[in-house]
Amino acid sequence: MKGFRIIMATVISTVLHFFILTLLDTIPLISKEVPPQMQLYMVDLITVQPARAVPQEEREVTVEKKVDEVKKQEVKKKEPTKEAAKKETIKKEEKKEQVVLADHGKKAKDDKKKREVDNEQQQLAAAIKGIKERVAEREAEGSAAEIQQYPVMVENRVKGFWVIPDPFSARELKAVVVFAIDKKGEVVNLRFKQSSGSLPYDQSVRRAISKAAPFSPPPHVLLEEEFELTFQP
Amino acid sequence: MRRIHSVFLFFLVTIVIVLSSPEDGKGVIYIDINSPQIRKFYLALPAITDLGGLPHGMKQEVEETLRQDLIIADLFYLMNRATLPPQAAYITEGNMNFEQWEDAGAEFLLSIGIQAEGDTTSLEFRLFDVVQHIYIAGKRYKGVQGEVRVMVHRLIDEVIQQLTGERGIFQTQIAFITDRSGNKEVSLMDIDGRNERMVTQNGSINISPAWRPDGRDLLYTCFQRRNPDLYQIVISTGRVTLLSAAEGLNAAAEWSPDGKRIALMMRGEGNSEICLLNQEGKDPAQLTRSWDNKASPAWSPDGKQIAFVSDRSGSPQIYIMDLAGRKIRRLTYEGSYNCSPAWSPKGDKIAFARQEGRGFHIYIIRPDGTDVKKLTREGSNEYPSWAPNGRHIVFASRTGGSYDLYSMTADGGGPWRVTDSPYSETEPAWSPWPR
Repeated sequence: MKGFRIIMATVISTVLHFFILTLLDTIPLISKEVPPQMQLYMVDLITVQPARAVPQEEREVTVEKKVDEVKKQEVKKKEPTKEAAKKETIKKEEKKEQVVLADHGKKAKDDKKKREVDNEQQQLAAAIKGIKERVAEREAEGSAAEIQQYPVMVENRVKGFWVIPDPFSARELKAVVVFAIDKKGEVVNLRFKQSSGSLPYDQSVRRAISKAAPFSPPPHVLLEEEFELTFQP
Repeated sequence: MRRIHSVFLFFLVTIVIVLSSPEDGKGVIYIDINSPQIRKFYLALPAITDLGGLPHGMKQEVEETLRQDLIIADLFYLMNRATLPPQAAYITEGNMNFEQWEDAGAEFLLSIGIQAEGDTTSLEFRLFDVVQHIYIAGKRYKGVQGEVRVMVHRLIDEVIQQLTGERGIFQTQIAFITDRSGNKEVSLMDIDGRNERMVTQNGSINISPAWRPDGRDLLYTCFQRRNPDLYQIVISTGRVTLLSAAEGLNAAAEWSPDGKRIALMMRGEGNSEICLLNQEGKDPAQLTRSWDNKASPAWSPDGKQIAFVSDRSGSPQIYIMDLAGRKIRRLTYEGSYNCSPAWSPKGDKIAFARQEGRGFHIYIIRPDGTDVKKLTREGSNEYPSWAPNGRHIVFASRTGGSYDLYSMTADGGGPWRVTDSPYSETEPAWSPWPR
């Protein structure tokens, strides 16, 4: 009876466990998948401009406000001139002032255009900056394709430098090495997980890796990873 | 209540374990690397350094022997000295500038110094892994002046051992038959053709020398008593033993790899058969029994099979017998005349001679009958014999006049002339490793 209880407890706990995990939508048994990250990046790249565009509208609004203020000032200034218009002696000055005011209005319009252009440039620069940042981030983190390609590149590069004068005599030998690749592409923390038992064979493996290094800098995600290479002719 | 409690506890424990395990430490990416490149190493061999007191010509002799051995070893591209960095001083582990040699493209560097003091010569080498910036090994050999070639051979063997883990062949020997004296005698030499010395001097006809696996004794067939009898000679003492004197034929003998049995040709009923003897030449056991002629038995290195020649198909072809079940299968189908099988010490190949036109050529074939390759191109070439490293083959070759011995690699590289005389040198037998 006690045994049955334990079995039941195990079964129930396992079922509960998986049920909860499914609810949480995090299945830790499956290691992090790469493809969703790519979609994330793509989405990010597209949403860069709208994100930066919000302040753009705000700026336009403020500019319009400023223009309104200028117009109001114009009106205010015009009123006293109308009063003064009754005085013929100041007519010329009035005209002058009107000209000045007209000039002022023109200037304001010019300012508005200039600001709009400036704004557009700013927005563009911001957008470009955003894209650049994203691209840099993306380069550092690496796309899914890069992450998948990198180990293949490591394999091919090391393979290209692995030389054995007589594979027949080494056909039963096997060596396993583990190392990481740092930001510069240099091999770090190289160690033998399994020696072949033959010093020259192990040396040929070491030599292949030293010759293959430095690798191209790994995608950001792979900086945390270690590479386990099995050498078997 | 207690039950619920225990369930809850178990649940907690499992979830902790499962959640934490995938996050443990770093992730690992597994990569399998197979099929390495098969090519030679780039070896820089700077000029030999005279460390004092060298007699005239010794430096050249050492230099020539070194280069010859390194070429025959077939493991290295000897880098052109003109393109190497200028050498200011004798290179030792103290002053080695790895970057300089790495930039020049070298993978290994072999620095050699030689010194003579009176009658003693000391030869030393230092071997560097230029890629990994490692000083691999260094040794000094001392000997009398006349031994300088032997010292170079030992040095090269050591270098090969350090680099490949395989023994070098430069201290092995080749037994062969020469007609220098007007008869056919068994003789011995180093693998560069030097240091020749006669083994038999009985004025009769001696043929088919074969090494005992320990390299101390040779088997050969001699017609001294008019019948081709089987003899054994201890090389160091010259003591001769008559092993088998069966009427008719005791020829083409070969030691089994364990040194306990001898396979040879003996007379059957109007034909020749393959037989086994024990190490004293007693207890003959007939392996084959049929009307056809059989010749040239050759052991597989595991001692479980014997390759031999038979004319049962109408022409001499090579067959393989499984000793356990006495089962026979045919190995060669092409060519009208295939003979002299020789099983490689690694067991992966069988070398043989095939008639083409008026002459023969050396071929290799896998024991399963696939992958036939022609190794020789010129002249008529017979009697292949494997070096113990399984990478070299010695054979007799003739382009018109007398037979001379040549060596080549198992893929036909070379060939390098071993003997150069107006006499005929045939039936070479490459010795096992020296003990």
